[in-house]
This record gives sequence, C-alpha cells and structure tokens, in this order.
Amino acid sequence: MLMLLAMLQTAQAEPKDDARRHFLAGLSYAQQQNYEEALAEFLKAQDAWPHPNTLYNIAKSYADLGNIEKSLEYYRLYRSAAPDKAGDVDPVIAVLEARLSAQKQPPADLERLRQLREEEAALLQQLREAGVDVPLSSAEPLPEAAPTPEVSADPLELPTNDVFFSDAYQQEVVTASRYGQQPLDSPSTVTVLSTEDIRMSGATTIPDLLRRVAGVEVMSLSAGQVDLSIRGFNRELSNKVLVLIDGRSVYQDFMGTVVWATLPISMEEIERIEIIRGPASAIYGANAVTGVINILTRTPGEGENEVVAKVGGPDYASASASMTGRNKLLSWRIGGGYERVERWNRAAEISEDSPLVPFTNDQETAMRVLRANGRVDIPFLDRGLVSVSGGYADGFTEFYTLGALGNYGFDFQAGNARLDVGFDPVHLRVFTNHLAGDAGPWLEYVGERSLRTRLESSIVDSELEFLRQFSTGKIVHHLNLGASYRFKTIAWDYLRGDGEPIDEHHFAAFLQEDARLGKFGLVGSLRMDRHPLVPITQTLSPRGALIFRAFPRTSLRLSGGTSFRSPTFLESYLTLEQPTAADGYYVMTEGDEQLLPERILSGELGLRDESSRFHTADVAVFVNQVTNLIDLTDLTPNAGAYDPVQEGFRAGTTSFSNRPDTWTGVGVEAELALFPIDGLDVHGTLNWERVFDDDGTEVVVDQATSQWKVNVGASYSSPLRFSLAADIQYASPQVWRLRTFDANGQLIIQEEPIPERLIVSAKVATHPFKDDRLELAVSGWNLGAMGGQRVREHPKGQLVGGRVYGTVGWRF
Amino acid sequence: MFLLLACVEVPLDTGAEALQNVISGTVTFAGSGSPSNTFVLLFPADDPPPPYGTGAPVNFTTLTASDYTGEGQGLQSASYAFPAVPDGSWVVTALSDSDGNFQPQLDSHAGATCGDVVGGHVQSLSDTSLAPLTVAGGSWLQNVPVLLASTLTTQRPVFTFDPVTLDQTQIAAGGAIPLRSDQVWSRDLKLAGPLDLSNPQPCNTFFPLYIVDADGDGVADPHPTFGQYGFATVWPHIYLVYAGEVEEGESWISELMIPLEPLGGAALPLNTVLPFTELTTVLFPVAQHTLPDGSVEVVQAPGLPAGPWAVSVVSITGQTWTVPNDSASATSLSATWDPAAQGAVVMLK
Repeated sequence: MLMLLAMLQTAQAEPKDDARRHFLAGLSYAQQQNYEEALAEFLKAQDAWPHPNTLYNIAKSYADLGNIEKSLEYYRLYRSAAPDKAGDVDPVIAVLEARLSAQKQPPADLERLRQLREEEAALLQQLREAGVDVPLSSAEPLPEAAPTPEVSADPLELPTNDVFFSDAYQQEVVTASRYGQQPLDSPSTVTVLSTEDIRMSGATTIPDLLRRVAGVEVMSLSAGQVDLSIRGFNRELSNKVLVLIDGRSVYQDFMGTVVWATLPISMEEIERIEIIRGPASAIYGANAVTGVINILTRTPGEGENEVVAKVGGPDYASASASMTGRNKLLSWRIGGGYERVERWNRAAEISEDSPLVPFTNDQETAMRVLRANGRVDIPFLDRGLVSVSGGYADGFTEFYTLGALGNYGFDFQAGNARLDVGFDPVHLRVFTNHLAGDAGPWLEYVGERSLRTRLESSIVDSELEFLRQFSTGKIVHHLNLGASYRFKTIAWDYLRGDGEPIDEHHFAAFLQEDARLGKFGLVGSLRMDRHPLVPITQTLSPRGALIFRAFPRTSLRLSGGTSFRSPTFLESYLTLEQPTAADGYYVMTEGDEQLLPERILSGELGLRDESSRFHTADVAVFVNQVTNLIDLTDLTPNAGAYDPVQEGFRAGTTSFSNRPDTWTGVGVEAELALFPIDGLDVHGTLNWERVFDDDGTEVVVDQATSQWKVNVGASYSSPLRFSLAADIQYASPQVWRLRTFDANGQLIIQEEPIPERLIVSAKVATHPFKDDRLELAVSGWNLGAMGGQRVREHPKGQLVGGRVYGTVGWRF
Repeated sequence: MFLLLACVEVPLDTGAEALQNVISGTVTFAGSGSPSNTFVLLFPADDPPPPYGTGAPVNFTTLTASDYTGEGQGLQSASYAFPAVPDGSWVVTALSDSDGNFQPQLDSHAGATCGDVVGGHVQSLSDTSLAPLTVAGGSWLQNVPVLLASTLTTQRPVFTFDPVTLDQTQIAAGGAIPLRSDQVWSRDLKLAGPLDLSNPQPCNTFFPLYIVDADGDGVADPHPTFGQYGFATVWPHIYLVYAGEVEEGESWISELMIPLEPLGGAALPLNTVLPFTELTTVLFPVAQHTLPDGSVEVVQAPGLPAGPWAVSVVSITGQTWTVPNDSASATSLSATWDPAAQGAVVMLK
C-alpha cells in the first residue's frame, strides 16, 4: 500500500525541523537506554509535529520505563493514527491490557489474576504459533498477598521484537526516482519546500516561493504571470522545466510553458513541493530539460479542514477552503478558492477618446481565478487503491508573450480529471487536461489589425507502470518499467489550418533500475519517446547515477544524463502575421515541422549531509551542454502587396530553427538549513553560474540569467504562540537580448539591462488560542518595492511591486 | 488597514515605452467618392516629405477602407495612432490609395499616384502646409486631425536619362543632364516575385513645371542659391544625390538647375503648372554634405565623392521619382518602357 501511495506521488505528513531534531535526540537517548530522556524528547517531537511513529516511540519508552497505563494509552493512539499497523500493535495492546487489568485486580481476586495470567500465557502461545516473535514472559510470580498497584520501573517485555522507529521525520521524496526515498539516496539534487515553508513565507504564488531554492531563476513580468527556470535559460513563457501536480504534467504543450493561474489548487492545499534540478527526461519524458517541480497536494483523509482568507494591498484578495475525511471505505479531500491579484502597473490611461482598445475594461486585475478540486481514494484488497481526482479553474490572467508581441489577456477555463488504479506492483494512471479560452493583446490601437484569438487544447495521457522492490542477495532493487501514450489536440487560429484541430500521438517506454548494496547505490534509467515529428534517436534519454553513503547520513552522488524539449505546437505549426513597430508592416512568422528537439547533456557531482540533527546541507557542481536550442531565424525579406486582411504589407518571413551552436553552462549551488534551537529555522542558498558558447567565450544571450543569487531566511516559532519569518533574496544584474522589429519591418536585437534586485519578505503570525486552530498573520512580500524601490525583472515586464496582506486561518 | 491597502490605485508605469509618446487622431476623407485603403505617414519635422523636403517616413500605419465610418463627403473618418514616437517634432501626411499601387518597400511604388487623395495634419483649412507636432516626456497627442482632401491629377514624375560620366574637375561651368518624361508608367512593368503592382488607371506623365512668383511682381523669383547665375525658383526640384556608400546619417546632395530659356524663357506664364516632357538640367560643381553627426558643410568640386549619383525629381504635388530605382530589375510589359533605363546613374570621376 505504501508503495502504491508513492506511485500516486503523495506524501505523508511533512517533517518539521524541530520535531525531527527532538526525535533524533530521543533515538540517541534510547540507544543509550536512557528512556527517561528519550521519552522527554519524543514527547517534544510529538508536540512539535504529531506523527504516528513518534506515538509509537513514546509508547515504547513508557513501556521500557514500566508505565503500563501510559504505554497502553500511546499504543492505542498509535493504532488510531496508523490503522494499517493494527496487525502489528494489537498483540502488544492485548498483552498490556491484560497486565494492566491484573495490576488493578482487588486483593481478594488473586484467583482471577491467576486466571488472567493463564489467559495471557495462552495468548502469547497463540502468537508464537502464528509466527510472531514473542519473547518469554518475564511476568513475576504472583505474590501470596495481593500486590499494590504501582508503576513498575522495569522495562516490560512485549509480544513483539519491536524497536524504536527511526524514520518518523525522515524527509522522503518521490519525484527523483518515482518512488519514495530519502534525499540522501536521490540520484538528483532535490529540494523540498514543506507546508511550513509555505505557511511561513510571504509569497502568494508558487513561483515566488521557489525564489528561495538554489538554481531556480524566477521573474515576475506581471502580477499574474511569473516565469521560472532552473539552471539558466529563463525567458518569457519559460519552457525548460516540467511542472507536475501529484505527478500530473501541467505543461501546456501548445506553447511550451506553465500558465500558473490555471492550476486548480490553492497554496494552502499543498503538502510540499519537490524541486529536482538537472535533466529528468529519463523518467518523465519531454520537457524535463533542466528540472522538475512536483507540487504534492494533501493526501485525502490526512490533516485538518481549513479555511483561509487573505486581503491586502495593492488590492489582493484570496480565500480558500479545504475539507478532508476518511471512513472505512474511502478517504476524500475537496478544496476550492478564489483569488484576485491586482496588476503591478497600468501601462496607460484608458479613456473613451483614447486610441486604445483594451482586451478587457478591467485594467486593474492581473489575475482572477475561481478554483475547485477534489480527490477520493478507495483502497481495495489490501494491495489496491483506486483514486479519482479532478480540478477546475475559471479565470483571467495577464501574460507576456514572445518576441515583439507584448502582454496579453487570457480568459480561460481549465479542467482536469484523473484516474489512478494501483494494484501492487502495477499502477495505471490516466488523466486529461483541458484548457480553453480567448486571448489577445492587452491593448490594441484603433485601426490596428486585431490579434485576438481563441484556443482549445486537450491532452489525454495514460501510463502503465510496474514498480517492484526485491532483493538478490545483499542487493536491494527498485525496478520501474512503464509505457505511456499521450494524445494532444489543439485548435488555435494562430496555427496552420486556421483554427482546425491539429492532433499528435505520442508513445513512450521507460525502464529504471535502482540497486543498493551497502553504502553504494547505482541508478540507471532509460526512456524512449515516439514523437510524431521527431526521430526517436533525438528523444532517447538515458540517466545514470552513483550514490555513495560515505557516512550514515552523508552521501555523495555522481550523475549524468540527457533530456530534451520537444518542439511545441507553436514552434511546429505557427502561422502568424506578426505586427512590427510600423503598423503598416507585418512579418510572417511560421513554425517548422522539421525542428529537432532541444537537448541537454548534463553531469553533476553533489554532496548531501544530514549528519547532525541541527542541519542539512547540499552542494552541487554541474556542467550542462545544450544543443539544438530553438530560436526564431533572422528575417528573410519577402515583400508583399498590401494585404487588406492583415491591413499591412509583408516585410518578410521568419521561422523557428535549431541554433547550430552549442552552449555550455557551469554552476555551483549550495543549500544549508539549520535548526539550532526549538522554533528557530535558518536557511540559506548560494548560486553561481555561467554559460559559454562552443568557442569558450561567454554567450551574451544568457546573461539573462543572474550570475549570482543568494537567499537567506529565518523563521522562529515562539512558545508564546507567535511566529516570525523573513527572507532576503538577491539576484545579480542581467542583460537580455530581445528581438523586435523596427519601423521598416526589419529585425533588430536590443540589449536591455536588468539591475540587481533584492526581494525582502516577512511574516508575523499569532495563534491566539491554545489549540492553535486560529491563525492571524500579517505578511509582506517584496517589501522594498512598497517603499518605491521597484524594478523590472524582464525588460518587457512591469515594475514589480510589493504586497502586504493580512491572513485569517481556521483549522478544524 | 488591509482593506484600505486593497483600495490603492494601480500606479501608472511611466516606463512602458510602447504606450508613451503617442500621436493619435482621426483621418477625415474629404475627397470625392469613397476612401480607399489609407496610409498615414510620420516624418521628422526637420526632414519633411516632398514638396517641403526630401524626407522619408520613419513610421506609417494603415487603415482599410472598411475602417472608415460615416457617410457623405467630409464625414467619413477613421482613427489612427502612432505609438512609441520618439521625443521630437513631427509632421503627419496621409494618402488614400485609390488605385491600390502604394508599396512602401519599393521605391518605384512608394508614393502617391494619379487619383490618390492626399493630405496631412495641416495648419488650417486655408493654410495646408504641414503643422508640426511636438512629442516629449511620454505625452499623448490625442485628437490630431488628418485631412485627406487633395485628389492628385498628375502622375509621379517618372523620367529617364542617359547614363553620364562627368569629370568633376571639368564641370565648373555646369554640366548638362537632359531628363525625359515619357508616356509610360509602371503599368508597363511587372516586378519580379509575387507582386503585380501594375497601375490600373494611368495618367499621362510629364514634368509639371511651375515658375514661382511668390510676391506677385510678374517676375520669376530668383533661385535662393543660384539666382545670381540667372536661375529662377521653379518646380520640380531636381536633386543629384550620392548613391555610393555613406555612413549612417551621412548624405551628399546637389540641386540641379532648370534653365528656362530653352523652354520659352520670359514668355512662360508664372504660378501656373506647365506640362513638359523633357527638361535639361544644369549641374553646379557644389554639394551639401550632411555629416553623420548632423552637421552640414558645403563642398565644391573636386571634393565631391567619386562614384554613382542618383537623380531625384520632386514635383510641386509632392510626388517624386528617382533614378536609379528598383523598377530597373522589373520585367517590361510594353515596348515603350525600358526598365534598364531606370538603372541609369550620373557617374562622377
């Protein structure tokens, strides 16, 4: 069942740093048989962050201290929290109940006590016969006189060979290898942002939250659109990072990007976010070029119901609610929310006599969305799980497009439905994503040919995976085998066919073997994707990794692999008369069905260290070699007569093509998290990278990636029921090279600098009631901008503003 | 407090260049019939279009016939806009392309032809000289009217001349360059490629000679530069323009004079358009040299650059023609049109 849950790529409750630290301390004391101190630490861990395994360790500590009543109490709690472990713990509870009952017998009932002892002995015998390893009873002989009930100081011998759980707060990631594993064992560099990280940050969007992750480049072009990349190559409509929600791709194939506003989940519904840096086509196929971001939502039946409302300025409001429940047949979760974000800037005053035709009369809203989603999990036959989920988002967003086109408005409806059927060791996943809407330039001038358009995009994706863990001798294997099929259909009048649907069929097969022998782990992955326009030799994606656990909680990893980004529908089928600086000229921009995918060959050496309970650290050095980058060609002059439909003259033609040169990127990333005392977390990242062309000279075009990025942050939760958090993120200057057309319809490249920038965010929260259910908070993001220090993060983008808002949250 | 914050107005982005420095307004068609596809052109005020200068448009926008609303003469109008106009002073002209042969990318078709209705943003209905517009600091000039009222009755001053090589050390007395305007027009040529810009309604072609007597004293006004040599101010203005390689912003230009004696001398009526199909021009060995930094110097032969020079004729109507031009590579459709003649140059040694 756990394996099936991993395949569904959901997660158990999130580790909390304090809890982890106390838990590890408790383990340490327990190993020294200092059960009193161990118990104290386990209780602190449980208080900081409840976890079934901690309950178990508390129960075990009480047992070792001879306190039957308290031990029984916690075993029962453990049984309730982990009902699937009932078979393991019920015999323990039975024995403890018998002991306790015996202790509580009145003196005159010695005969009854003897009877109970006999029943206990019979029960233990039955357990032994059933294969349970039950030690010999250490029950002391019955006294001649009735004993006085008291707490024994001697450890109890229990009908199990149980030991303390050692993994209650062990962070587990599922994205790097498609099954749950410790980050120490991951073949890729991985960062996890937890529920607590999300709660404590002042960010209102997922990309803004990701700014603190080493290697992630984030830029906000408007309040409704944020683009991000990993290890360079950021741009408007960024296209080299695969984003998943619970393993479901939300990459928009028609344009090759993620439209964040269309995601049907609220920030409060996220359990954690896993960020994998480095190529991952070997396990996820196309478009996982420089990394994968997997957003994991809360598991149905876990956690609490929650209602959160936020309001602030400039004009920001959101509300979300999520409910979850579980019964004998199923567990479920539903959520919904509304969010409205105001634009950072208005570009112009719109009045009745102005020469501008706006896409929408609402010139103040950058993004507005109504969301709903839900999921039901139905276990069957012990090894099986059926999960049905879906989501819907209806809204509007502003976004910036490529090249000479400016910002657009997009009225959208996005929906998805998903079915997972897992029957260990096989997992079938089918989902569909649908996106429809009307888009067009944010502002058009009167007399100008309108570029408004209608889009409908649907994909159906199915995947069958076999995941098996087995051993051969001392080697432990994780084997993944799978095949997938994806159908895409896009109807968009920017493409060939004037709005008639264009269909594509994609097939893939993948294999991964992860073998562990002692301190060594070896991972090999291979995936083949059959793209209708691309030779299969161009999509073959191998990956290999060697992991060496130099110490129990320190690992070295050496990995290498390739990834690819398949040409998007836009790059393959576009046919668009693109306006130029002179309204009378247009440039014919066409897709190319002969494009090869962009490819990356990457090597990485990493070190991860969790050797103390006070820190985690990760350092990675990488080299990327990127070929076949897809770019627009120079303009081919191709004068045409006046076209009354396009209301202009054709100045020439441009198309997409693969760049012939090779770029090499090198970089260093370091992450450090410290948990020195209760309630205090400190984190920091450092990032350096450069890109060179095949001559070894620096490529000017990728000075669009900041050479240096530094993030420092801390959060503190006080016992006085308030918490503070602050983050500072620095990015060094950039230079963008933008294509545009001059007044003669000629292509020109403009170099546009972006200054260094600093984003400061903070949050102050309080839980005024003892039960912590109510949270009142004040959050601020990009506070420097609130004082007027606004900068653009992209030359075409708006001056990024700040935001201060208040939060009221209620958990029940 | 947060609700108050939520009510803060979204600030205006003064750095959003595309939406700053806008000139916009309405084109009003006051010609006869219905407006055709219309081209609104933007020129620097200090480099205006013919007949006020020799400037080329730095931007243009198009309006289709269907963009016009309203009915009745003078009541049909359409909106236009020029975004992102650099700071400076500008003039706006427009033409309604009645015969559908305007093509700004081809110098042989980048002008108003017979039948087109032309105009611009003018000083007033009585003073039809172009009115400059000043754009600065992100300003929006709204409601800038453009009037299309003048229907051209003449064709562009298409001409040919025989290629000539002049030794600039020997043209101190002036070299003669005869120009001929024939009964031909671009309907007689077909450009290579998909374009077929043949003219469906040709007008006769001639040089509209106009002798200026601005002060009305019955005597032709002397030419401001070469009047001392007996030359009068006349239209068309004819220029010799260096066609060799120059730096960006650099130009060499010399004005050719039209001696009136061969055409009738003092007997010619003043302030009247006179059709001539042949003109003889006189070259003075002096040229105006505009340097890349915008400064101007007058250079005399033999200091002029050796190499090819083009001849441009600017008619009083604002119509122009330059040889050599891109129709030299066109295919002739009639025996009267020799495209190769459109490739002639004046070669200075």
